[in-house]
Amino acid sequence: MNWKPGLALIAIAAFPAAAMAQTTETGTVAVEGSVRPVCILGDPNPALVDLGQLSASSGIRAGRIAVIPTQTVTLPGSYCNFAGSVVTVTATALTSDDTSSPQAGFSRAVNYTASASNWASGASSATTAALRDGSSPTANGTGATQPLPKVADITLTLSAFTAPGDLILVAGNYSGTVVVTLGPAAIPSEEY
Amino acid sequence: MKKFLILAAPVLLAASPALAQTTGEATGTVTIDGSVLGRCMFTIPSKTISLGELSLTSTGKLDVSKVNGRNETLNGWCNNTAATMTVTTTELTTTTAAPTGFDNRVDYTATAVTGAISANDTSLTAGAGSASSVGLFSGDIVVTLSSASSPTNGLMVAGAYSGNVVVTLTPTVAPN
Amino acid sequence: MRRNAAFLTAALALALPSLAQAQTVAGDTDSKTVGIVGTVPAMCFGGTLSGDGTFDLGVLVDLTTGQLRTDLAAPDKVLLGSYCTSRSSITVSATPLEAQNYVSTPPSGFSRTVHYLATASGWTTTPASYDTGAATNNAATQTRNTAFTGDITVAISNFSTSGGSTLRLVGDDAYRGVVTVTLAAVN
Repeated sequence: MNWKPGLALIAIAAFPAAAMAQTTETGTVAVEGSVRPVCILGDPNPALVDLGQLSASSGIRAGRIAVIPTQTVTLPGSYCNFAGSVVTVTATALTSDDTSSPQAGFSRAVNYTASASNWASGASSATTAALRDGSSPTANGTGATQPLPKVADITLTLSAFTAPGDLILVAGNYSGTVVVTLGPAAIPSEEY
Repeated sequence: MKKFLILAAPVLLAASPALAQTTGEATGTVTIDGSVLGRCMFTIPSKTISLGELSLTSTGKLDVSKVNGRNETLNGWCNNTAATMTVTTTELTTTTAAPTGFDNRVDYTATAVTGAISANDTSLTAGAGSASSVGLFSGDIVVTLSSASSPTNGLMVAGAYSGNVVVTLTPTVAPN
Repeated sequence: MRRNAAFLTAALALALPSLAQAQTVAGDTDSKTVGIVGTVPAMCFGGTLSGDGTFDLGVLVDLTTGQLRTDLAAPDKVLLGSYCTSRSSITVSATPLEAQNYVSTPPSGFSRTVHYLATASGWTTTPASYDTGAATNNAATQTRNTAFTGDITVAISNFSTSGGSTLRLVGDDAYRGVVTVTLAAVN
């Protein structure tokens, strides 16, 4: 039998492109940063509280502590950028620069209350309880926790100036300090 | 014995009509057709820009110099003249809420440049930026950040911030 | 897979930024100090005099001789609650008892002046003393080198007739002398 050669058209074809969905490609640049936790206290205004004369000059209370009006100091624009901060106040009683042990009937120390407010609910307060010879002059107080980041003018008031035993004050230049600290609240489980 | 070629791809076998017999020689023609899909691809599809500390020590506010000018380079290609490139920018945010006086978000503009073509987008508005015609290309795509800002120029809330820039290459214009 | 591993490493490095921070960077705690100053002046309070301010000696003369009695005495006076807030000095000064009405020079054999010793004690170790008949009184001022509060006892004694004990005193129902005690704070 003879085989007749024939011609056949063989075509290789692909499906038309319009029938396929186009593919988009995406490349991603992740952007990352951080803000560190920070507390900043505004500079106290005034930085130095001058009470003037501490003792009464005349009258029945001459020589003893005068009625000293409440003093106010502002720490403007204080802030913490994280949640859970607290204000702590450390007050040191005023004592005379005459460091010798005072005679009977005299005190070389003046106590007072320092209270910082406008940060969290309530205030952070400390009342000094120095003895008449000036020993045990320091007292601390911590207030409530501020649960949000906050910026505010912290107000520090100094009040209730008294002498131990209401004794006569020895002469001299008296000085004391209040340190205001702003920082993270202690973890509750670590408190006693 | 002649063998017929069996093809794996779908094939169209067409039988030719009966041909008149010719004298002398006979010629057979095999035509091969193919096509290349419009395609884009990233050869380097992922990078990270680490900005570090975002706030100024002196004020606690956004330090735009930490963002502006930072860049990273992707790499990709598109094989057709109708290819386009778009940028979608997502702002930097942190999870802690921002009380009055604070911001917890950084907006910025991201610009993707390949060759002479650029596309950009700002995180201030949702969605992608305008598409740029990038056409047939292969090479680096440099993504640069600029115009950083915070909503109230307030104190920055502490925490980890993250956002991203997505560059999209589309090979063909979608049919209407 | 390799690409994913590289991304993880970058993320870990980001998680430890604080270790690389310089010491001068602001931290999560800040403290500020407020100073408080005041002054207490060096001052003294002379005390509150017990009773009235008069040493009442009564009749100065022995009526049979017309001369100064030898048994003159008056109870001490006390300055209660005196104090000085610093180192101090106490000074006593006194004026002789003199006739207040008979002010001219008495005739021979008579005197119008009685001397005495005034002392202030309780303030200093050595009492301050002033003799109205002495030319000098070195013990009149005494010092104390600490603040003090206490009672000062003022006494008068050692009476003598100016000019001699044999003179008679001119008659006058008002002989007067003044004792002054001064506390002075020393800065």
